Amino acid sequence: MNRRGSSFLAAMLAAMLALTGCYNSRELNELAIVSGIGIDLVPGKEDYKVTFQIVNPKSTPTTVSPGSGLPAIVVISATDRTVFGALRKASKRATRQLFFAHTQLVAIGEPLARRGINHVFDIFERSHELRLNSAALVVRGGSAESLLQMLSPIESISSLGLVNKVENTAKVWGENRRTDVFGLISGIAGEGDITVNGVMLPGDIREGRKKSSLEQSDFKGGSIMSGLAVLKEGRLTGWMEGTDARGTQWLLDEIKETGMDIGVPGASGKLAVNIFHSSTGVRVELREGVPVFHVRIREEGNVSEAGAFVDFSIKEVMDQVQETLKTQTAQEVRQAFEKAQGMKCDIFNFGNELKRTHPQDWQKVMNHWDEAFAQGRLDLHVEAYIRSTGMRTKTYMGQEN
Amino acid sequence: MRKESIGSFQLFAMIVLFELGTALVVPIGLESGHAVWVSILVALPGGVLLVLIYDYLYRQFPDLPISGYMRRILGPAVGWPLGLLFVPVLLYNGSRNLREAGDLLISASYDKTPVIIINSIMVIAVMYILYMGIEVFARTAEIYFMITMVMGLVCNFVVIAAGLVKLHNLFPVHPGEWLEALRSAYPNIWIFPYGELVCFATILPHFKSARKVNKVTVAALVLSSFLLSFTHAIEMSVLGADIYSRTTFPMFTTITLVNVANFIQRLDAFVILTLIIGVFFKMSVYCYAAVAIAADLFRIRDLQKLVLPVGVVVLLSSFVSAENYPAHMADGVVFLERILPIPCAVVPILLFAVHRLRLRFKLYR
Amino acid sequence: MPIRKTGSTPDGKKEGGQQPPLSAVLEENLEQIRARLGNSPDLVIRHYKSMIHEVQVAAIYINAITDKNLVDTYIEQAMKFEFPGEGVGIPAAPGDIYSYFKTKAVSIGKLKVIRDLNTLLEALLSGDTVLLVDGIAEALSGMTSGGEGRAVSEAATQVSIRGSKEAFTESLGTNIALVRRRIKSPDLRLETMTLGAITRTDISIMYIKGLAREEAVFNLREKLQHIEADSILESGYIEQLLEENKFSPFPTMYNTERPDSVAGNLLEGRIALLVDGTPFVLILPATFFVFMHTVEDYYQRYDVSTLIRLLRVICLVVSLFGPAIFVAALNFHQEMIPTPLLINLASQREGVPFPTFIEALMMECTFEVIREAGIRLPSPIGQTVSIIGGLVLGQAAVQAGIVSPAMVIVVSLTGICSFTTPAFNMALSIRFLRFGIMFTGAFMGLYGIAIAALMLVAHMCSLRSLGVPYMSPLGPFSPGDQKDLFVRSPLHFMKTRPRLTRSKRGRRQPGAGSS
Repeated sequence: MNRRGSSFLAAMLAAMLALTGCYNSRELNELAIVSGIGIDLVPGKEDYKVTFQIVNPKSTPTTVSPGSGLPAIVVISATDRTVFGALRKASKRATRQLFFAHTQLVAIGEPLARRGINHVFDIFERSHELRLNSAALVVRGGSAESLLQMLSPIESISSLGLVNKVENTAKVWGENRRTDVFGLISGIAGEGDITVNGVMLPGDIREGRKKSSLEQSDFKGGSIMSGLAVLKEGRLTGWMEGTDARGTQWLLDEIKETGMDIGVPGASGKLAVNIFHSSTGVRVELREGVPVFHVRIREEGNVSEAGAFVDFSIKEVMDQVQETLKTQTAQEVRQAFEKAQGMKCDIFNFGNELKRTHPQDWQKVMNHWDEAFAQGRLDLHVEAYIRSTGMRTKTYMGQEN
Repeated sequence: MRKESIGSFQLFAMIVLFELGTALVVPIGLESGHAVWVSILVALPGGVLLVLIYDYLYRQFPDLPISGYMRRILGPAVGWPLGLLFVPVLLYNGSRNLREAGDLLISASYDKTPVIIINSIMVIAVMYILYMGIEVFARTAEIYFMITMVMGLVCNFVVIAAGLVKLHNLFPVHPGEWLEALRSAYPNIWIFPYGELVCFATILPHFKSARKVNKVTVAALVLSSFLLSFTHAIEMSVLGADIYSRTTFPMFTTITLVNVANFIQRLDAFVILTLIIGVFFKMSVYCYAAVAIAADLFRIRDLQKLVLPVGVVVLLSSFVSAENYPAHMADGVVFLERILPIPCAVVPILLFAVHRLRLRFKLYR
Repeated sequence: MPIRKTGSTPDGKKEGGQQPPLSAVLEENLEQIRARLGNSPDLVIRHYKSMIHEVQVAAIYINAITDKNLVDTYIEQAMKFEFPGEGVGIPAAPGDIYSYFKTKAVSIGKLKVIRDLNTLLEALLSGDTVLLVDGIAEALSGMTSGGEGRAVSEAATQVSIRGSKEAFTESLGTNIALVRRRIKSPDLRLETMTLGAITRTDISIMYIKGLAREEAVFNLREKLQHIEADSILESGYIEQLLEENKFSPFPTMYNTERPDSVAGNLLEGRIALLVDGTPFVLILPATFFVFMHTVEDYYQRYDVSTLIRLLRVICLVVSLFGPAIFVAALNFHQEMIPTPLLINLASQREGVPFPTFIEALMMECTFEVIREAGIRLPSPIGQTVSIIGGLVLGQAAVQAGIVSPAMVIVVSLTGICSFTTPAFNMALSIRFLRFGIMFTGAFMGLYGIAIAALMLVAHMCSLRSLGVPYMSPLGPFSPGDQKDLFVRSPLHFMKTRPRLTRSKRGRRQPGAGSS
């Protein structure tokens, strides 16, 4: 038995080795690692112009070579009716096979966003190589191509830089958030509408492509995160900006940390409050055919800066500060809500919530949800707490009398 | 030759691995929407009943595989052909598992590798372990049971740590959905994966302690049911009902979303491993069952002789049976609804009933 | 070549009569002995004539393998015969003298009676001194073996920080003593037999009665008696001859040169096999995890030992799968590597002319070459080799752009990991298997590795060592033995011995059981 077993094993292993081939084997230096994909609409046509930002491994210094001094990224693009077609056509311009598993960023040009992006993302789901958690951005007033061509000063690979930028600002300021392809797809598939993070290219686009312009402290190109694009049925219909964007984030329970400037009770200066914790609870119900959105926001913050004299040791003053914080938050949220109602875009997931909790009620309004949402009532409760005033209680400025 | 015997924990591990097999990675009970995890639990009592029937029959005939007591209970004239019918069903089901594994591997990673190569490698491994005998198989199952559990823990931990779980995708379960859950639980989930345990009717004769059989099988079934339910609940909560129902490989998609601290990401490897291990054990059990029944029917004493033909049949039918994955899935629905219930539920219940009647009226000579 | 199955035990048991018996005439016997040994110059024959009785007596021994002092004492004692209670000058029959030698005069240990020539020669060749009396067809042999041997010294291959520094030597007697000194129990059993038609090597089976399973001992004895070999020069011969699965890369017998390790294993119910001429004692049955443990695990505190054991297991996995996974990840599953790391690796691989697999294979082979070269050389030169090999070659290969730095890291990591496996023969097997797994990884990626691992585990589960499943106590799983597997639980928790090797007396600690 044992001897036979062993010879059987040997025969099987031999068969196994003979059977295998290196079908899927690819060497790293035969691959072009794509760090970002940009999708634009070719003006006047139905075609997609797909832009790829490729990492140039030669420019990364190693022990073997000091780095070639070339830019860290190379950008190529191709046009086709389908994204996949463009992916493959790009081979005409690339020396190596494009490799998508590390795509960090998917940028969409504003013209395409205006026309609608619902058809773009199927390949991201279907392909095993493209990842669903790549960040998605809408390039505000520009093309995705120009965004990807832009070099970036600190992060040598600008796609990674852009993703870091979104994550960074989302973490401390809260007007933006990292929207990813997965979120977009479930948003498109679910009820209601979606928001996608926006990015703007305020600088000199031509300068931003040059490596030489990186060699100055004041980079002429550059990108800036800007607002949230509101997509109604996949089409860009408007932008949520500044406090509206933050209000939207609040309603979506996406605020991680943010800063608010609130008025000082009884003085002219401003008080900076760092909100370090916030949570939002949403309940949706249908009352006589009109949806009512019960939103409960609970925020906690620290006083980070006082622009005028405030005596935090007095309880009444603290209460007043908290009250101001509360009303200001409520105001931001309400503004965002009203703006969305104006666009008839339920970007706050309220539809999904209603469908989830009250499927029968949802049946009644699902066909005219946009209108129902626009008529809906917001029942907002904000609780605001100041937890600490930092290293000092009173400010060094005396009381102005 | 010494009679091979397997212990309680070995049987336990084999059942759990068999149950988790493909059911862990492919979507099951499609009709029940986001309440699939409820369906899995709802189907459990039925599964336990079935298993108790298998156990009862085993305890009545502790030395015989299912085809053996089939002939005893129904008489050779009916039992023998009925037993013969089991063989193609088992082989086909084994080949379906292989096909699913191959297709999932190809769509997940090996897009340029011919399916025949992927499948043959798996079949070679299965043939090898069958060749080594049920005892070695059981020991391997034991070790891999532990490995799978550790991997499962790691995967679940990582998915939860990555903050992907959104419980609101699971709750609330509305009354209508309970009904749907019930409908997809019976007979679909009841048969696949619980009813498939009929294969173990050929392994049980090797079980060492017949007295413990109920305890072991039911415990294994309950554990695997909870694991399945939990895993599918996690997948559902991460993906949402919509994507879950559209994806061919929900566990894979779930894991690809993981990103902890920008470093632990794309743990696809774990899922592929889970898939390979699960399919390997499931297929091996199927092939073993086919081999054991065939050997019993044709009075072949050396099971090893049948391993090669069974392996080849399974391999060939795995890619001949359907031309593409959707067709394969469509076949699967028919197979699951029309054919699989017969060996898994109808025949055992029939055997149970006839046996009880014959005992009652003392019809055994 | 005539092969004899020998079960003769040297403690005076009489052999069957097919061998040529001794002659009653002294000269004839001596002539025969000389002839059989080819007039060897180291054969010493000393003639004596007893002064009173005029009986010819000869003492025979072989020069270099006997202890001079012992021989002298032996002969002296034998010659100092005076018959108590009998008159002087009465010629005694040779028989009387002989029986006097036998019963009274000789105080040497291990006296035995020899009746045929072959046994006599055997005794001579193993260092005994033989007394022949004219007129008697029997000989008396006394154990006087000795001569130069290595003293007990420190273990060279299994070094430990804490614990006994003694190691076995080449002498069977010394080795037995070393074990006996550690287990002062009357239950410690010793059985000796001679194997090898030409070498006539003494081997001993040692076990503790009541702890080792009787069937295992019986089984082993049976197997040893069926060994047909003309030479046993090292315990490795026996290991290979006894192995149940000859085509498996895994060793199924543990070898050690540490007496404390042997003692520990005996106490767990295993059997030790000592072979004359080698300091390496075989221990069996040896399951896979025996190779992963050291005696020192029990000397250090349990928490430290547990961590070290876990470390070893991790290292084992790394050394087995490390390069395979690296190659598979780089060639098949690039998506698994975190992006910054991938970019880093990609930039390292720029300009490397070989495929990853060839690169890995090259480096692994180089590593094996350096290791092998280092072992065979005297230690100062050996170190130079490793420095030249490791530092210079690795550094130069990287700088020349032939190998990527990451590959050097992976290969040296796996190399170092393989050294943490305490048993050298297991580490060798693992290193050998590593190449196979690397192949599957390079051809089929992770899928290949997974299938290879499955088959490997299945293969390991199919092995048995003296009837004990190789992967026990994992497969078959025995919950009670988990306390001494990956973890080493505190000593007072370890109340039972391993289930599959022990006999009924499972309890380890008094108060809890019968011992």
